Amino acid sequence: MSTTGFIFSNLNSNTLSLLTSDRTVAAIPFGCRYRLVDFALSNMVNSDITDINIIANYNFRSLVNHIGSGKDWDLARRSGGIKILSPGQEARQADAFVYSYRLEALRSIRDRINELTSDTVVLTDSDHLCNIDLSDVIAFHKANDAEATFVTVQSKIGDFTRDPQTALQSDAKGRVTDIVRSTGYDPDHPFVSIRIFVLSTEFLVRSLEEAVARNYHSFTNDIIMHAPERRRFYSYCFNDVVIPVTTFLDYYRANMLLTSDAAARNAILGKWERPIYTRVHNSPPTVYHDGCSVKDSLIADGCLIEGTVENSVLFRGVKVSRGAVVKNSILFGDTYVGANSSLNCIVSDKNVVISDDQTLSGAGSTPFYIAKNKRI
Amino acid sequence: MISEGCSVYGTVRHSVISGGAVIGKDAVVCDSVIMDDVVIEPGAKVYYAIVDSESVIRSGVTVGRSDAGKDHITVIAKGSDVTKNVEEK
Repeated sequence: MSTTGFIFSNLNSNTLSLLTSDRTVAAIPFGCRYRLVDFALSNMVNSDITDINIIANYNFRSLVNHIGSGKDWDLARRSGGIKILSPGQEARQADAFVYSYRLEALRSIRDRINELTSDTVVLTDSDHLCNIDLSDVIAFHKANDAEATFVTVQSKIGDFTRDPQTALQSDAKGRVTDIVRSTGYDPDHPFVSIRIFVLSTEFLVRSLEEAVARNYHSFTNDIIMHAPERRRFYSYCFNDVVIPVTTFLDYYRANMLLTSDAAARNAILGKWERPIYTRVHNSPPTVYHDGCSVKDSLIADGCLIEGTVENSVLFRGVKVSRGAVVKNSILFGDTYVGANSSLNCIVSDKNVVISDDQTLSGAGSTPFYIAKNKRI
Repeated sequence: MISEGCSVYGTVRHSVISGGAVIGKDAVVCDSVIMDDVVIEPGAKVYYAIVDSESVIRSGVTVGRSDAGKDHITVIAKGSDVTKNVEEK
């Protein structure tokens, strides 16, 4: 039987507020030519899940443009394919709290969920980047006759997050015995959910009915954490690279990781048999003029490089003029860097123009963000 | 000009590099056209050449001459495995 996928596009807008003033989290550009949603979409498509719904309730214009017909992910199909769902007004009322949003969004599309003919559902956020074979998780889920399977990673001493994560304790077979919220390494609950869930459709439908009947507000508190020892919940521990992108600093570091760590880059982007698909733009190759110098950088098509670029991520159509120096920076599409200007630890959104002879510097722990269309 | 999907770990000057090529560490490519999916191994040097698709230039090999000029282009055929220095006379 088949599986239906649901991708949440808006979660964590608060912690990524700089980048999401007019786009969903899912549409945040990443790695010189991708958007965050490409990872969730490609993981599903590579695991033969071709009936996919993306849940987006505001600012989703760039997401819609990016997805288009779904052709670039082989999702422009007669049956299944990709749909962008906008949950109703119910979801907006509870918008402050991430987990309320998830349940409210599901409740408001429960007609669609009740109509599902697939026996399994995969729910995922857009903010944990990994290259995972979901069919393996689904097989594990079915073999254990689970109601829900959480994809988890093992947390380590020294891990710390500002926002509490869902941490699980499980027995030797992976059956979940306890779930808590934790902000760091907890040796009793060593498995941290990366917010990819496999649910049996029957369990999802039943839970939503209960959520309506008992006026639940939070997917995590009311459905997941409510007496897990009485449920058939399982933890699937994923041992490969997972890059979280839940805060602006996470986002900056994740892009910088791609320029400096070949192993991490290959782990998520370099698996040729499970590629990350994205929307294709037809731009000409990048031209590197005499006198330019480029080191340790990811550079997309359509760029014009006349200056120096180090340790940076440049999206399509970026122009770096003669004498300019760009270091440790992320420049979104069509950014223009004027002659002799110097950029360090900068994240510039699309169409930014930095005129000649400017010096802009953030710091590695506090990169400086320049909003879309700004002229400096 | 460097196309998408290329990995450049060496030095590239005045050349056109097509999709998926890999230029190894300390390799040098000057005044050349490199076609799709070519691998230029670490330390190899390519001057004034056209290297056709899917060829491999092995470590330490030199193709062409740095002063060859555009009238003496060395051409490497598709799918070649170049293990010894090659030059267009």
